[in-house]
Amino acid sequence: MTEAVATDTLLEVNHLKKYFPIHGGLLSRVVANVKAVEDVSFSLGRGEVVGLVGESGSGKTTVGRALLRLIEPTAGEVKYEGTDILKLNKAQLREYRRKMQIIFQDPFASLNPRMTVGDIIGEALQIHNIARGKARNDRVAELLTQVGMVPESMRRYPHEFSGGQRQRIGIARALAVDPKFIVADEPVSALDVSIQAQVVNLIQDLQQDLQLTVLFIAHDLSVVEFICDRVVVMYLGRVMEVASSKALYTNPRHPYTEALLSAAPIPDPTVKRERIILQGDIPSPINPPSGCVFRTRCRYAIPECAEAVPQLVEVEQGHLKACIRDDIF
Amino acid sequence: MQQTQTPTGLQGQTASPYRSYAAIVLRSFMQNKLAVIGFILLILVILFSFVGPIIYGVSPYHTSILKALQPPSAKHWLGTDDLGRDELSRMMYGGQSSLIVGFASAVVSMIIGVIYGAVSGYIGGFLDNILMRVIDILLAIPVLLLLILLVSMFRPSESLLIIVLAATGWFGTARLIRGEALSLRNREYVDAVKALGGSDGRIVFRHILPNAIGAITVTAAFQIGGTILTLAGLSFLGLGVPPPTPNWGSMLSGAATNYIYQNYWWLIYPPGIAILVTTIAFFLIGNALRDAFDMRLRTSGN
Repeated sequence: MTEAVATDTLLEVNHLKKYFPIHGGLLSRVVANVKAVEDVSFSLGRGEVVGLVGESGSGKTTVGRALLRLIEPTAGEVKYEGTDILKLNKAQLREYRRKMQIIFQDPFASLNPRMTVGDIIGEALQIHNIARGKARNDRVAELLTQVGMVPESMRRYPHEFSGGQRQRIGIARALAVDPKFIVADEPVSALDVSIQAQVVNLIQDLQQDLQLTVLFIAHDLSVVEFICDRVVVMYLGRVMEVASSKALYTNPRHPYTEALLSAAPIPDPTVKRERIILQGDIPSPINPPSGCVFRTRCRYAIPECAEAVPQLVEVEQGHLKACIRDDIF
Repeated sequence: MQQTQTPTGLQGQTASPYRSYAAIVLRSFMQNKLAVIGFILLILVILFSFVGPIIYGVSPYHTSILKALQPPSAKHWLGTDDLGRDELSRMMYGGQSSLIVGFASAVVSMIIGVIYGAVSGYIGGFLDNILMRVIDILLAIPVLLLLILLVSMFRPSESLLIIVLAATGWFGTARLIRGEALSLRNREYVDAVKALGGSDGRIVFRHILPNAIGAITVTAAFQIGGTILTLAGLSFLGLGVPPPTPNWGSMLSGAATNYIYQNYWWLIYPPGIAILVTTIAFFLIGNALRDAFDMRLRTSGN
């Protein structure tokens, strides 16, 4: 893995927010908001692979989808090469659709069961008038080969393939429009462990060959450590810590990251370490704790934690954390 | 990282021969015995109604008071009615109008229902609310009363019946397709098309409706059967196809009101059985289609 060259920013996310309104009462007024993403900012350098981790309900997937406007964010900016894509109209957005793509989590849900693999991948080419007819088929064959499948697969239906093969088809579809940026939304979580490594390797190879910038959403920290240059840790819709992979794994600076890392299994029974078991469930995003959202489950929490939302501050070069306790690590 | 990437596909597995979607559904449909029975019954009814008159060659309109109410004989296989018209020939022509009106009005009501439901479900939100409340209001009106009103307001004819039956038959379809669209629009493959910049039209026509084709076909089969039954009901009440055009419902009605106690069985049983058989045929086909499409879903899920 090459060290990140973060000087050239491809994508910049500023103060992204997504509230899902809850309607209630006779007039279905908004009675509450699910604050799925609350003030998230980070950036991706060109050619960089950034991991987005956090437990279920932390808002990772919402962030990924909001970047592509599959979900319309409530507020914030998503700047792709300086252009705020949240301000684009439909026609302008279509242009950007070619540059940004997504790989979905569930390979069984992300392929239309009524279409052949060739039509699924070819549809991308059709929508953007890239290729039609024989040229389309040639390109589909090329894409299938690129993701390690035989070109003959294009005449078949998705149900004839295994989970790993389907995920490869999903990757081929995302690559069809030649994107620069890809959101990989837990691309291996739904796969068997034996297949996971193959697909992760494929994504990594493609990333290097095609110079892709990838936002890799996952909850499996070992996969993230392997593939990512930098990692963004989220909890309850907020960013807790941002650091290079190496720094994060060797020297976490946020109590939540510490707990997450201690929960990741190490395939070596001789290694003894302290497991930090988080008490209780993630609090409700409808009514998150005041101040630091993690304080209700944090073993280092002090009364001051409830007072103000901790800002992300740089503790080392490229290493940011949102925690007021500087005395614990 | 050491890469061991051999192309993967189906070459290593026992690749099943290439089969289209329709072929898979057809196969599982043909494996269903009741489906085949329903299908054969339908073919027989169609042959009886459309080919039968050519072979039998007796006019359904020729009246002869002298020959009224004759029991079945070599000349009149199913006897004659109170005006001396040949009963079998009237059965055949009556079948034509039942099938044509049933099929045409089902097609029209399916088109209305599918478009209405797809728009409502796919767009959702406020518009969905309005469109569904409209359906609630329409459903609250008793269909038979509405039909009686409409049919008595205008001069009855086959095309009027088609329009009226279609206009009152699409509510259920619209609701069903709306539900399908509502669930299908949140599938990840729809998100994938959105991420690629596909238009709403592409999403509805290439992704949502093809995946609702099972529901659409099944409803259509039930709809045709149901419409034939409603048509028979209307005709029974004297509001169907105007005389002298023969129709199963009005034949049954005439026989039942005038001759039910006089043992003229050849006037009562044939139209009754014809209505029953045709309706059952469509219901069997509808059921089997539902199973066939379900089976397809099962294989795609594992």
